[in-house]
Amino acid sequence: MSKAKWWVSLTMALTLGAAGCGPQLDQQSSGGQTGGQPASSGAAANATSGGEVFNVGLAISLSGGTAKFGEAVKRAAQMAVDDFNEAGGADGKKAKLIVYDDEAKPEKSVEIVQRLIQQDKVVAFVGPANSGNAKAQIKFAQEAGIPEIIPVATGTAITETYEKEDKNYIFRVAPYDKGQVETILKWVVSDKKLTKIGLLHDTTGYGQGGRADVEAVLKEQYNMSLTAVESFQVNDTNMEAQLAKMRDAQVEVVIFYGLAPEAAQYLKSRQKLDYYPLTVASWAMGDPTVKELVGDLVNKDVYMVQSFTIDQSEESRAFHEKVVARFGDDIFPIASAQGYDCMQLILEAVKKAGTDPKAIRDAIENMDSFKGVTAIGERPFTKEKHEGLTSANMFLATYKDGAIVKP
Amino acid sequence: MLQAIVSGLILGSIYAIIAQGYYITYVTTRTMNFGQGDFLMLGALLGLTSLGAMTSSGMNLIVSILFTLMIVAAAMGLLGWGLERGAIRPLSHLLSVGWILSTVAVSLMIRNIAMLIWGRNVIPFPSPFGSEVYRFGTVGITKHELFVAVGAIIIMACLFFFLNKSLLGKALAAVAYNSEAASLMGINPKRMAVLAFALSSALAGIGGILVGPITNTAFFMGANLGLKAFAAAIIGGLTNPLGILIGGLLLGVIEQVFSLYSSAYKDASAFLLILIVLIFLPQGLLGKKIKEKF
Repeated sequence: MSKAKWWVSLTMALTLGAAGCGPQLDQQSSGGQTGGQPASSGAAANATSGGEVFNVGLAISLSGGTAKFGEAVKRAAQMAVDDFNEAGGADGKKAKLIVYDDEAKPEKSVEIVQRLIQQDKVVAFVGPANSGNAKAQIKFAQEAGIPEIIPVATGTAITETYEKEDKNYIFRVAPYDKGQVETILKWVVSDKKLTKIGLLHDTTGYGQGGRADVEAVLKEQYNMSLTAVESFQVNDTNMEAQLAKMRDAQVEVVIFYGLAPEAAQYLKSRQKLDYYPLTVASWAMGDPTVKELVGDLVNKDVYMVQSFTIDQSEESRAFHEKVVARFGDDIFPIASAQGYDCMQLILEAVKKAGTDPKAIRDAIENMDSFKGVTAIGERPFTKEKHEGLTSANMFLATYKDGAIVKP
Repeated sequence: MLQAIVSGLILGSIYAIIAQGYYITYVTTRTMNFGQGDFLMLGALLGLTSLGAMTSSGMNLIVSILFTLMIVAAAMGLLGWGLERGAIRPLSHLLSVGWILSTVAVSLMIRNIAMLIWGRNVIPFPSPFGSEVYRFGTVGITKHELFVAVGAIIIMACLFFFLNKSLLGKALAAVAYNSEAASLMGINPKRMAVLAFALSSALAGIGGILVGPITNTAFFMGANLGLKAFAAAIIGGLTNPLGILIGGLLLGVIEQVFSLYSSAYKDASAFLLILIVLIFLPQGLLGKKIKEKF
């Protein structure tokens, strides 16, 4: 019996141990986790004698399917905060970045946003990466009157939710879905004059929303309909069946709406069937994971919506090099750029309006002569428009020798 | 259509390999490792790491593949041993179904530990055979898929030979048939239980190396595959290895063919198949009908 007891206690100990060394999902770090960088803005800010500190938040996925987006945004946000503090802050007030991981789960997202607002008293925050999480958490930002700027999530309706309210606290610097679809269809229908359009989307909210947008825009603006619509599930191992049907329907261009791992499977299936339709995808195709998974297969007729390419301007190249210099690599250039712009907007607003969240919101909405690293405009937002990127400044990019470039 | 069937057969043979793991432990100990999918994930990631290390150190491709298979099989076998000793045997007397939860617990630990070691991203697992595609008429098969198909056949054959012809396999079968009588014949049922778990874990690990380049490798890859393999085992009949092979192939093919018509309901088709099979053949396609006396 004692032996059995020993085993039980060992198992218990192991369980506890494993739980303890589990991924640090709640890290309240600022700097400690930034890729081995010693500079901790929080500590630095606290050390400044007499200087006041205000909190800015980041609630994004650092684990789960969108971890890479989150990590890139985290690095960029940290960089923006550090730049701000080094430049002296706003009236001597330094910023402290508080980061929580939402694990790409809506319920967790709600929890950490409430924590950021109630416990950490952030003046504004950036997040999240997933549209489902955004839908779940914006209510809390809006009700508490804390501005939120979304760096990654692209679901169309998110910024429209509180449009009718007196003050809308939700902003976005990611290419929203409908704008992406408009950009894609403008290129496909107006520029390339293609008529047989196929759509391949995933069965999550992301793909379903994309499908609704594509069908709506195609109907309203071009009075056309899709030749073929196919779907696939997350973690599917191939898309041969769907592609074969596209081929049978003589589709000229495939609009792909899904995330990186499935995009990789799609590209592999194209190769396996030896059928390479022109492919136009949402911005998720620009996820570096795609290229890691399939290598050279990205170079053949693959286009996607982007708001940032490294080669688009001198400033963007400089920004990219700055990220590389600080973190060793730029794991997801477009997400870094969008994350940087989000945090930059908040910090600029603090410089203009102080640390009252309501004043920050007004300052963000009325920001002019803003210089972003993405294709964001100088006056990104107005009372009616809370999208920093619209179909006017999104563009299609393509892979050339494995790098994303403007075609 | 033909392409769908070929892809389905390859996918199905992977399901079948993993599902054999359920069979081995079920017949010997009436327990199963519900974390089989995560053991598979660990096998894939271990395989990826060791294969990468060996090929980059300039070792011959075939040799490094063989070494990888051996390393993974050994490591996973050890883990299976630990699982039986640590999470199944101590619980067998406390609560008769405690092992169900403890295997799930172990699998969750493994998943989290894997996430800490290999990170949270999807990791590319380039096939050691390259990404070249062979074409037979309209059907395209990658070299790796051929390797999977051949590998699956070899593994099944070895397993079949081991279980039916070798002394150890016969001992396993004896324990499965009647463990008390077997222990009177000098077979240690406890040792056999450990062997069964080690074997099933090793199978999952090898399955992981085979699927890695086809699916994406990441710490969360196991859940879905483990479930599908379990479905294959149930469809085929948990007590018949041939049934499991057929169940796996059937599941793979039906999934792929079904997605020709409606890709959105592909996974649903797999589980609908289970319901239909279980309604008409509660013991699975080739499972034995057992009258249990209590």
